[in-house]
Amino acid sequence: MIAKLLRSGPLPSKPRTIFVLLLAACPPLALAHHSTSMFEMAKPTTIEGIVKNFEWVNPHVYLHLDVQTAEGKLEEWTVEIHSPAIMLRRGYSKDYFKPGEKITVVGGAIKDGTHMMRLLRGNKADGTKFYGDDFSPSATGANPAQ
Amino acid sequence: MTTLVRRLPLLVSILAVQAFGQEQEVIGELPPTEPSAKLSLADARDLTGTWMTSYWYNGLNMGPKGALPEKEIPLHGVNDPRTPVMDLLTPWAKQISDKSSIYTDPILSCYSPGPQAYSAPYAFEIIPSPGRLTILFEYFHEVRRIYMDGRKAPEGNPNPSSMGYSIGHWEGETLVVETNGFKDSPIVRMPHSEELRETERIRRIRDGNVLEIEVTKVDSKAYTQPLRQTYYFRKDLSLEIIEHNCDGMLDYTTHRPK
Repeated sequence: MIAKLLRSGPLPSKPRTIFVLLLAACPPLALAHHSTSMFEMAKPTTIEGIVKNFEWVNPHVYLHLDVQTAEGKLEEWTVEIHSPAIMLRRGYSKDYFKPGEKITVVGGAIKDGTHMMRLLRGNKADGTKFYGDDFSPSATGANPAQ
Repeated sequence: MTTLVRRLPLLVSILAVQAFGQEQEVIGELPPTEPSAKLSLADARDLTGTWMTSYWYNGLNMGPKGALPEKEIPLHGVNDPRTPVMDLLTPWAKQISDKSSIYTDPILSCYSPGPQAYSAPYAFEIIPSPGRLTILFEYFHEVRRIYMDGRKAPEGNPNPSSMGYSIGHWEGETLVVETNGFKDSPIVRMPHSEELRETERIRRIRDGNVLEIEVTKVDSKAYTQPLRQTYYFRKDLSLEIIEHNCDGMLDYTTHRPK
């Protein structure tokens, strides 16, 4: 069973008006692998999909999801997360996502329109939360209950 | 003069780094130089250990901050900190920077990060041995050998390399490292050329478990004035360095829009 692709507007977050405006104009100077400026991090997209495979590779790990659009079209989405080293330190393992499981992810879609996004956060079917570029104090790892 | 400029509180517009997917606001003014940690000279010169970037704790909330400064000092022009650094690129550097994208980013093809190795949320290990300090970076397995035995760097850059050729000496409690011998960076947002010369001033501050590394970059082919950035690292004995290779990496070019 393939879930539907849901596109949502910006998620509620603390307004950082002046900072954000200025930051948007600033270059990414302390890059961690690469800039996220090519992703719509400020306008996240929500996707439900089925895990096709989970690639535990450097410089970033990837989730490949089968996603069915509202029009009934099948799309494969690639979700970029951190490097394995960062993932391990956040509580993930190489088996955290299993082929066939249904998950929901929230992330910044790449601006060029291809089916790629950078993970902010998400949840498994049982409600377990996991985190990518959401580094808020409560987002302590793959599973905060650990 | 340089020291005077560094000590002046500068009301610059907010500069920022966008790192690891999150914006991190940095400074309204450059802080004054801090005193070194109160250690014996022998202890002050002992940099042994595993050090993790302050961004891991300050920016990513990934552990107790200890005695870390709240913020790093972002890259800025030494002569003119108020000018955005992207405006301090020469035309040569700008035309490289302008081509930077996810599809040309060398890091995503696992090229060496070169002198930007400090800028990622990873640890490094400093190992002293007679006449040398070795830095083992977690990030892409990079290695730096800093020669402390009085030798001089080769003249004329006969073997341009990603991490350069480093010579170090002590000035009191501060390790001063001069590095040249770099090769041109590939397509990156802040490129450098073979002319790059870096001076690092490295010392233990606060309770001794904080490492301050001030990096000054001079590269007249790429920058219109010297640039400077200060990083902080926390000694973290609980950290193990994790392997970082790119076997089986994703080919980004397959995702390039048709």
